[in-house]
Amino acid sequence: MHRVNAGFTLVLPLRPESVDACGALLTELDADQARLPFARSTTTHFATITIIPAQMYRDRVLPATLLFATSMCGPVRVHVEELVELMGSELRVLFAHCEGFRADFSDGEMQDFMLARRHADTFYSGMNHLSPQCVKRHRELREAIEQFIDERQAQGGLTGSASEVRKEIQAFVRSRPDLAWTEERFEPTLRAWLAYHWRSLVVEGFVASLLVASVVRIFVEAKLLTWFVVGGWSLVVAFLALVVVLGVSISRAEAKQAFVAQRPPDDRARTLASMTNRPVINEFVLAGPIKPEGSLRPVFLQLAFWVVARVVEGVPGMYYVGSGIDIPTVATARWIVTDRGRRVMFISNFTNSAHGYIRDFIETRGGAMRINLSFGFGYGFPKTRWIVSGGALTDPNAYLYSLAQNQLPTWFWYGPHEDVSIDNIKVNRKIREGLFADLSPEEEKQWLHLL
Amino acid sequence: MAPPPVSETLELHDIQGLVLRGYGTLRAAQFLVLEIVDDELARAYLQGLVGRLNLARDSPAGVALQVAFTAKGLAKLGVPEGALATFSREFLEGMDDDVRAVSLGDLDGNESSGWRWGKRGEPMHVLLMVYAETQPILDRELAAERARFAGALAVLHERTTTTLAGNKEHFGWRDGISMPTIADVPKDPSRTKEKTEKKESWTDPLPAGEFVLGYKNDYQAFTECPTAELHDDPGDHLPRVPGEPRKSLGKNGTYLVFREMTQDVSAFWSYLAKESREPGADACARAIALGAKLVGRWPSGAPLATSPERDRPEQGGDNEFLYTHDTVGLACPRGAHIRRANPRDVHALEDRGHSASIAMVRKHQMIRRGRAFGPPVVATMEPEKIFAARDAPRADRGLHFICLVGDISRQFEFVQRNWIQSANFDSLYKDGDPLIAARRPEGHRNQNDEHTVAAEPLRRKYKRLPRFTQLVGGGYFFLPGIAALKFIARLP
Repeated sequence: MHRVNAGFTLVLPLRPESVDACGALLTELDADQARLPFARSTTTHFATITIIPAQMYRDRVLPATLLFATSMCGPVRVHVEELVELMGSELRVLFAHCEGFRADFSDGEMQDFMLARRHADTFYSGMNHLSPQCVKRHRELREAIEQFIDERQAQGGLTGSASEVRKEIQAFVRSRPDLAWTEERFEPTLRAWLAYHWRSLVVEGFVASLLVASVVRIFVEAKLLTWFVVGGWSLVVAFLALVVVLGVSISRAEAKQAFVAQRPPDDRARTLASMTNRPVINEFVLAGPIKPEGSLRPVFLQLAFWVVARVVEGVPGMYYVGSGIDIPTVATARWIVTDRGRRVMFISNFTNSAHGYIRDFIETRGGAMRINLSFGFGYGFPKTRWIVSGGALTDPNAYLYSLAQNQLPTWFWYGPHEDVSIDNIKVNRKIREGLFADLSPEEEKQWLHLL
Repeated sequence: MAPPPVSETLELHDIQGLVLRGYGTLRAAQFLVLEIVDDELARAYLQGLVGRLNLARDSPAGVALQVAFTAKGLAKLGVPEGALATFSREFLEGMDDDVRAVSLGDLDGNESSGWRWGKRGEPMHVLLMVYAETQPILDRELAAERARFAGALAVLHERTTTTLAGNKEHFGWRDGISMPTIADVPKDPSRTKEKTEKKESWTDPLPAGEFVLGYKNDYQAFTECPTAELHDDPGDHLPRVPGEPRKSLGKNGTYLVFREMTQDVSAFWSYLAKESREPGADACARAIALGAKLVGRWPSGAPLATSPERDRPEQGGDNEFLYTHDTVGLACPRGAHIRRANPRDVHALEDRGHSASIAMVRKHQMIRRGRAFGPPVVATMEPEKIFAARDAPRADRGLHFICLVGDISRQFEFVQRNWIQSANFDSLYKDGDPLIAARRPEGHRNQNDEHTVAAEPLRRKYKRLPRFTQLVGGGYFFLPGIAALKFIARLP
């Protein structure tokens, strides 16, 4: 079974009369996390369950919804089956507050409901191809090796060459039956790789085929080939035309923007800060309507996030295979476009305080432009120009205010990797990957520096 | 938030001198923490004080006075509620706030309940900073000021200072070397020449708005700046905010962060002497070598980054170095104090280059104006002699850490939380700042009492670092511009 990381997201409209009761239930569940035993889940890295209140977009009410979002690994069906098995009865009570769910659903029906209502998201994981068990084991491995080194150094040992030292460490690990798993295969299988990249591969395959077919068409007359080339290029041109139309439309809307977020009340900011004040990994949720100016903005948004998702996955053969983006502070993050493009939610599990985390991204010009692209549509975000210019680049205060305005309290959060940073998780993984790998002398030196 | 007035060059006549100078030639200083006991008399005292303050444009003539206020102090002086609310949230809440204490790591022995001053509920309103060339002059000035504010202000705490030989702090290391410079300030011609001959450097001057409110910061934007209603200022002391019906209360002011910490010199050197596994000719040399690995510089100030093997006093003032070729930390450990406080070109390198790191790090700089307090263990501050005297009886000594920032959250608090206090800084595992982080020992959630010294083939790990410093007081203050001070002094 593969360990591809993904977001499992449900965005379920709440029954209007159930909003308060659902909030009370989530408060109870957060206080007594054993009732939703994610700690026993083998497929859940993080879980966020919260209520997104009713919000206004133009003169339309976007309904109050239950946001159920896990950062999971492996096939989604396995994840859902596990959740229902571990916490089906509590989930049944929780989902009963939502439209379309019946309290008398069987386990199978509940699984079908969850799979059918899974909402698309644009998901990033800094832990791809890791399961919660991997994270835990890698940490145990590191602790065991560190202790071995400390003890041997205290005896005056481990003073040979890097290669000799590494061999001693390998021998130590091999001597420990509880670490026998380190000799099992760890690299993702081809199946896992395909499970992660198939969407990008489809796009890449189409573009590559079109280019090849266009060249072949110069020399070969064939009706089917002609149709493919003409049809393919028509699609490309139509896509580009759509991008131009949307770009111009958004640009006009940008000029009309009337509202920019102001400093939030201090007591609200303090409350939100207190909720993201854990020493290492924190979590936060943003949710709000998009800017009301621009009728095509919802279309652009859905298209943009589809493209961003492909970029996050990486384009096989073109750059880093595994993940297209590496964000040092982020364990997992996702954008969810809901209400037909009129509202966007964002959830992140990250290393840092929330305030430091959101500042981190605007401290370089490139970072601020990416923030404009991925948050510039939000109500209250400072005015952008041509989507990536202006905005957080020129008005960082308003950027911070807009995020504070859209940040919501999380009613229930589960995060098992509380006292290791995402950096630590990555280093621990490298220790495991390099332990028995075939390394050059220089690589052996670098591997020892991980410890 | 309305934009503050735009200025191209610093208005030195309206800025308190501490922003530009640390008064190094004024070797005697005392800081008075004051309570306002009579609002009206206090304002009258401030009216007189305006003319006695040292300004940024003037070199001090033997004496310098500076004044700053807490949020409570500004409220007590009558700053209207609406104007007060435009100050930064961090300043308004204060350093001793519960949520902030967690964030800053002011726990585990550093709790404000154990502070000497700055505790919650204390009527701390004004900070009067008095500098003088000699102690007798200082005593005279203090006596004169006390006479002037008698009946208006009451002294809650007197924070004495001392100047240690060689610009050192009590552990024996030279201090205050790495200091940001502000753009648009006229410099010594020889230094200007030196700079223009060099390539672009990470030590290039920062925009004034990083430290002084009312100017553009390193984002090329304006930091939040307090403002007042037009009718709050009938005396027309404050400048207008262009295009806005408001007055700028923050213009030419800055936030001042004050943290008083004691230093346990005996514990520091005893640990170095007992635990060092660093190379060295004798126990003292090995202790100094470990101290250098904790600090990131040798006692002379020479950085490990450029002088990893031994102290080179001729490099004592070197601040142009980078860590580009030392990402592992073989020369300067990744967790060393100066590397944490200022990671220069190696911050968050995973998805960014060295120049991006510098761009980020420049947004977290502070102008430091600290002073030591208490008697030195050895007057000459030579490390070998401090080593020899490490078992001498303990005395009350330490550092008044004082820094000036335009944004408390982005500058001081960010560095304190994410770089100083974090056990996971730069992929480290259980390492907090070896000098000033509050210790979280083994068994504690997010343990941070280790220090990793990278070496070939394997690191040396120092465990169970004792607490070498303890926070015993502090607060957030606003150091106003002169126009703002006149406004405050004339409030109804």
